[in-house]
Amino acid sequence: MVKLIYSIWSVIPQIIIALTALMLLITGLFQGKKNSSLITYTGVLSLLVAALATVSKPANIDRFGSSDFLAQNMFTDTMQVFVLLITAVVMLATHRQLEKDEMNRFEYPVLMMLSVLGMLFMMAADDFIMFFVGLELQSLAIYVLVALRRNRAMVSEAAVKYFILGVLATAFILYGISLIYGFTGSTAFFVIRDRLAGGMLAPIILAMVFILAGVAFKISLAPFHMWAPDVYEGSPTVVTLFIASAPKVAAIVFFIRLLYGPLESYEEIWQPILQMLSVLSMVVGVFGALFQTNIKRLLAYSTIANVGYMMVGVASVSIEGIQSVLLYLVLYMIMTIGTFSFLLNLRRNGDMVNTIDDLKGLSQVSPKMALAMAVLMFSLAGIPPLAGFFAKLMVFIAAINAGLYTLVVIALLTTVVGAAYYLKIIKTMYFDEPVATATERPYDLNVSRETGFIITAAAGINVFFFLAPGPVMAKAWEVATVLFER
Amino acid sequence: MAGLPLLSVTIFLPLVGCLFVLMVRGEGQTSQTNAKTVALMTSLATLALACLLYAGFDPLSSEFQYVDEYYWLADLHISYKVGIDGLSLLFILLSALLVPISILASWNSIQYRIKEYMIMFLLLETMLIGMFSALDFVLFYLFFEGVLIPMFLIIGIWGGERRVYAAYKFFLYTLLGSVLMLVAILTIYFQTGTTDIPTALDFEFPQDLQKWLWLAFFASFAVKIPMWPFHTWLPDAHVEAPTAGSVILAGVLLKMGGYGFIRFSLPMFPDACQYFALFIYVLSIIAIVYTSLVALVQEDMKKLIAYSSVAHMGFVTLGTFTFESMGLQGAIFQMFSHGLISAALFLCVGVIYDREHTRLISRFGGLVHRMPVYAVFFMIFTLGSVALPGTSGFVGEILVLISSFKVAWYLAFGAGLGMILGAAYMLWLYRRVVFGPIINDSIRTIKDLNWTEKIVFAPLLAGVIFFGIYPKPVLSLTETATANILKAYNKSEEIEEALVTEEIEQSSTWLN
Repeated sequence: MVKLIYSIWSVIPQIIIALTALMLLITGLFQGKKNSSLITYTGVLSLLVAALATVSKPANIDRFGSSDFLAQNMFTDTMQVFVLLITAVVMLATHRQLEKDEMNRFEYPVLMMLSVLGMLFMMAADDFIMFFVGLELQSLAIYVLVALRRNRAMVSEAAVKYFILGVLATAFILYGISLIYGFTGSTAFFVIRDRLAGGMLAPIILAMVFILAGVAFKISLAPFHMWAPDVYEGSPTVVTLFIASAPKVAAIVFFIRLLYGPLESYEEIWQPILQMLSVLSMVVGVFGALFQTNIKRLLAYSTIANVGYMMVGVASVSIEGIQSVLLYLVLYMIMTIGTFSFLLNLRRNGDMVNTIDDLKGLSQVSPKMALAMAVLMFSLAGIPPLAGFFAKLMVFIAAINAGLYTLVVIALLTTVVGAAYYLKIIKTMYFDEPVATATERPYDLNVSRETGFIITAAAGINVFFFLAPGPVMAKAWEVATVLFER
Repeated sequence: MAGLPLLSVTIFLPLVGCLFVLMVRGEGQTSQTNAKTVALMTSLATLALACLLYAGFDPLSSEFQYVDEYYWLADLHISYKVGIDGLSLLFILLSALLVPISILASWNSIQYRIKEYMIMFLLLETMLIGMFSALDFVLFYLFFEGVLIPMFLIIGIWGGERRVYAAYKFFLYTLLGSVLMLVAILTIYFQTGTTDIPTALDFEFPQDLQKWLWLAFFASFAVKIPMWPFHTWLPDAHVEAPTAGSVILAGVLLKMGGYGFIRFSLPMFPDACQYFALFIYVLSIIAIVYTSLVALVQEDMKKLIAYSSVAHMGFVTLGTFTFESMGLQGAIFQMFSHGLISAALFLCVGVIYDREHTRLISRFGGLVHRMPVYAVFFMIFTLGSVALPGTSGFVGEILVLISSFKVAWYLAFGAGLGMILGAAYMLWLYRRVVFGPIINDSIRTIKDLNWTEKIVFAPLLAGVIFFGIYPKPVLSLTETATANILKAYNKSEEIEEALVTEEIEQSSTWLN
């Protein structure tokens, strides 16, 4: 009986999210097609409650309630809370923007919650079946989200592209899983880890490559990044913001758990692969972004490069490495959400601002927004004393400690190239004159209270992070050590 | 005053000033004047604090003084640690002097976005003073790179026609150099287990590693100082930057490179320094002679002075790598004096640019008839740049010259040639701009210096002449610091001497 209660308790966050999502779905049906503050705020509330439930779980729960399907440790719990918080912020940021984007449907928050549910299962999965179910739930909800505004050609294109390539990636993963099952006779992580510890098997390497390729697709790691620029550009910005945030975290967390869990004995195989992917990602990302004129495409390439930097940390195979990746992930998410919230608020003649040229002279029209964006861009470029610098610094320290000199030098050189396109945005906002015709205002800037707060907070955190990086670092360290306890 | 972390207060006072400028509300003339006044007062207060630092400084102690240390990233042994020796203090004083001068010089010439402009300069001041006093590598890098943000915006927003190109070139060029230094810093961290600078200064690095680390630091400092052939960003940045931007750029930013060589490369990598010394000599001599020749044919005044800066910095690198107390002192003095003189020369160009909106030498001539006071100021600074005895420019160059003569006669020959060429381009510039007939009609109505401009020039003029006649305050301030930095070299010389005496003794016993 105790065991049962604890078992249920351990999945309380998932239960909360699932029940609320279904409840909101029904409420939505009765209240009509429109999204409403009621639905959004209930959704946000449930995400926060779920986060609270995760935090307040009894410490010894894993001893009683542990199952073979879900891991319950500080690493998964912390990342769950992180994903839940991110999603809550994203939901708040997009709430008042949906109407302007002809996306004002109650399905939007509901689908987001279903996707988060998938992520929670996927991140905590201790079994390939569980992982796969989570992954599919997460992805399917996002496919629908992308396609919500299907009457626009660009959106349909993005949705179809995302769906087909996504399914292909899933097929890769599934094939890899089936190979592993065939050779180890199990889908449970701990069994697989024990059975693989003996020695190298060629088919397992093959399976690993398949799974790595599939997950690399999900986190848009080059050379599996092709979809990212198109999908980022094609999706409505409210959806792009979501795609760029929580699902990335979930996939990276799973990636780390996979490599440091069942596949740990194959380190000497995946570590060089990871280094290669990381170099490719950084190079493709920065050079791809260099000549973009569309901001969302630029940010897509910037994501590719940034995931590359994170992989430098993962490839370090040390507590410092994982610690640095987690720190990077947190800070990068703050920057991403800040940047996209900025884009959400910037409209011209009712349409979202899309090209970099549209930002011309923004610093004169709206100094505060321009300042916040400039801070975020300098931070993304990794210029001290902003937070982005510390994220990169920690990754590089870990990599140097692991002896990955070449990787660090390449990474640093790509940051210089990267600085060029972030500077381009700052240049457009600050050095160019605003284009305004006599008849229309150059921008309709009606920053909603929520987004205004989010942008300010994001910029503020980036500026003041250097004052007290200690607590975040310590937490990241604590969380990272869990992966190495065995 | 006891217990107050004076150095940290000096570093962050301008930052507090930024907040005050930010709080200035309202539109129009009054708020602009308020913003300017707040910025000026802050920078003057910082100067006063820097003077207090000087007053309480013990030049004979070989330890870092005013050391403040706080936990920052304790797990990684990275801490907030600042402290100064004579070398740092000299440049802190220079920065603290030039920022109020810059603000005053832009009082009337900057017409738009004044609040932001003032914030940028105060931000720059915090970064500069912080950089010169950082005793932790991560902190140092933070300030070193942080300088890029305000300078990029200063050039880009308030600059001339090709400002975007210049701002980019400045930013990316220096960033490229700096990231290589970051690799070196991380390697040092890996070797020593801490980013504490005093620890690293006493650490003995393996010889092979020294060369790599030296090259990585070189990449950053050679761009910053700048040495030939890494100097191409400088003329662009100078020409496009607003006058005050050029003042800070030439006055302090270039010194970051020289400071880096002296603070880090010399004491940490003595073997690598000696290994690469010839390489530095060659680049320095090329810089001195070649850029002087380039300066000779410039048509834009700012560009000419920018190239002359590269030549003068050639003396600095030459002096630094003689590994002699005299050469090093000369290099430091040359940097200090160049900080005063080049700042003043850019201000001189700024004065006539504000009136005529051109910097082409051919558009001027006969200024002495309309602007006699200006002509006197300009002349003294020109002579300072030429290194006329009695000006501060002379002291640094003669020390470097003598010291380089001890290394090899041809180095002194090259440097001497550079001095002659320096005299040629500066005096020719002066003749073309100030003397001769008035060829341009608009100059017939040009006005002489106003009071603000005279106030701006006065401290620089006083500095150039005072330190030219009596250089002792500067030299004695940096004496202990230089001795400290050259410790490693004297040690190896002592060992060599000991070996030689041993050999002589051996041979004498053999003879007997």
